[in-house]
Amino acid sequence: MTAMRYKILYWLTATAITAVVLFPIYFMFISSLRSGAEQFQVAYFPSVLRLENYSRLLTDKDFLGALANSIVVSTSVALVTVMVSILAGYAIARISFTGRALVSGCLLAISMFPQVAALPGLFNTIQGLGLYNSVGALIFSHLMLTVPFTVWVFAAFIREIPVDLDESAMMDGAGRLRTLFRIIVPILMPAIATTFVLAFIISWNEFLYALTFSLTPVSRTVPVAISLLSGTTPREVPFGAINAASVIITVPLVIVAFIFQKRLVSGLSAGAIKG
Amino acid sequence: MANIELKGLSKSYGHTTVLDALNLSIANGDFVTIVGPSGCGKSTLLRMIAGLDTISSGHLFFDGKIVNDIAPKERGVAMVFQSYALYPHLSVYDNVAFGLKGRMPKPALREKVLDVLERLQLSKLAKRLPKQLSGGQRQRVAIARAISREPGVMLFDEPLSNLDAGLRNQTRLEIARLHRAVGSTTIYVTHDQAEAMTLSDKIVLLNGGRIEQFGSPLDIYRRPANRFVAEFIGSPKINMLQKNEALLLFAATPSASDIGALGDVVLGLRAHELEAVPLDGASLKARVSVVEEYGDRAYIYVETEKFNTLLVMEMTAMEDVKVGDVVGLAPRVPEPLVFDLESGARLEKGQAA
Repeated sequence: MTAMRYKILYWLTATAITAVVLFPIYFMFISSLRSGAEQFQVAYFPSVLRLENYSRLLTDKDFLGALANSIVVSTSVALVTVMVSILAGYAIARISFTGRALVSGCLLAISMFPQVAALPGLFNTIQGLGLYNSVGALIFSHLMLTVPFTVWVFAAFIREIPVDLDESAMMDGAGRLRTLFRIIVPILMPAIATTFVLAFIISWNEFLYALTFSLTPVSRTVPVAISLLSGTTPREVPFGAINAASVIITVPLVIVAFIFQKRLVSGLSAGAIKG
Repeated sequence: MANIELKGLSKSYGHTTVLDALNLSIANGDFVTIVGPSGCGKSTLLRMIAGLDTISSGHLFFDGKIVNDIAPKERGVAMVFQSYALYPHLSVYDNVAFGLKGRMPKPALREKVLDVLERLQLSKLAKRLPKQLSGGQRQRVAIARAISREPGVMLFDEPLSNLDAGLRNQTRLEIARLHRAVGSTTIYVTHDQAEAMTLSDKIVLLNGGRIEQFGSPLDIYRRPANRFVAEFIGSPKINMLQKNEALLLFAATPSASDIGALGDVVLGLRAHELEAVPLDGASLKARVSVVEEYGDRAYIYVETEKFNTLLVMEMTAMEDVKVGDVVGLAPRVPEPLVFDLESGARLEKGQAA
């Protein structure tokens, strides 16, 4: 009897949480299928399927440009983040060098900085590098957000891997790099997948830096482009288009998450040691 | 194949000295076991020979060449780790092949790996991942990986300590057999003295970062250099008697006067060197306190007010002794091992204390 009651309670709770989480997305989706004044009537089901919001966006050169920029920026950020954090994380976890504690302490401190605090300095740096209003500026600034934290995460993951494995590889004649890429990286695949998705999402959603460092459609990413969507009159907020744009930018995230889903849940280093 | 020589080899971390100026010479092809209590530095010594730990001072020679600063891969050493350290994402085949890649052409590599797997009865498991193997099988893969490169020196770091008792004996035999077949100079770290006694050509007994004794197993057992060695090797632990206690025990024997003539010493008698005798006529009587029955033999621990400690002696299973019985005690050997009370060094007959 108690088992039955437990089950019912479990399903009730699960349904409630799922509903709360999914409702905004659902509402976003049906709203994207409405147009004009329909937006302001409360309705929970789409009455007519109108794709005009989508067709408007997908013919808008600036929006498509922003979408392309977003994909370039997020993918580059995710790739560079993973590459840099593997190398840096391994060094911090395994190689003893002067100032190691200082470096890893700084990384942790930086990853807790509020984003705005870095803005003025970052602005000057980007100006100095001549990157202002370019995709490069966004990649560079987003790396500031992702790398300190992910290096820290990688160092922690690598410390969990028995050092015997590195030493065993060393006895087998492998150098540092071969050990890293042939032994450590394959074991770290779940962490790498997680980090890739995390960095991708952070970069994909990022607004503040994207707004500050871009001036023209050349370097605009989707979050900024959405904020600049305008209606037919200056007073009208184009909710239909905004919702359609939101749906469009959610899709790549879902795809990325699905690709890595299997990796995200698989175990870390089963069978490495006696266990 | 290689002979190994240590000259004044030391390891220290800051002000803590872990190994203190060790001198040791290991002949080509020998099986040498390093034993000692926990924290004596035996694993550190092994790791220094492997090249995984740096040498603080002194020199390490392989075949007469200093290898202090030479990387592990160029020393021609292979090591079996206590945790096995198999690569979890690689199959048994690839675990063994990993160290051979780039050293030989592919067909030769394949042949080599299959040959080594065959030798350790792992052929059928070649495609498995380490997590799909039992503890004993993982151990064999670790050994296969080590011998695949035909190292001049094989190092084992407590390889059997994670196996259950039955498997441990079986693997011990396999290691002995393998050593004879491969012939690499082998250094084997253990805290298990049964492994040390049965496997080795020579034993190094390490204590507090110093070598207490280096010799053949029987030599170490029969002629321990000092009290520490005598007490460390041999199970059950050797009985140590004060001089007055030994005099009581040896009262009825010709050795009594010799013992009486010794200075400040302690005397060692192993369990099988004591026997229970009929009460009448026995010079020393003791009460049985504990009986450890092994079936083929029994160890009994006896106490008497005249002695500070329990004495252990071996009995055949025939002798029926129960806790609380009183037995007579007599030595089975003419003379005990004699150690200087102060320095602990063993004294030869006729050597003054």
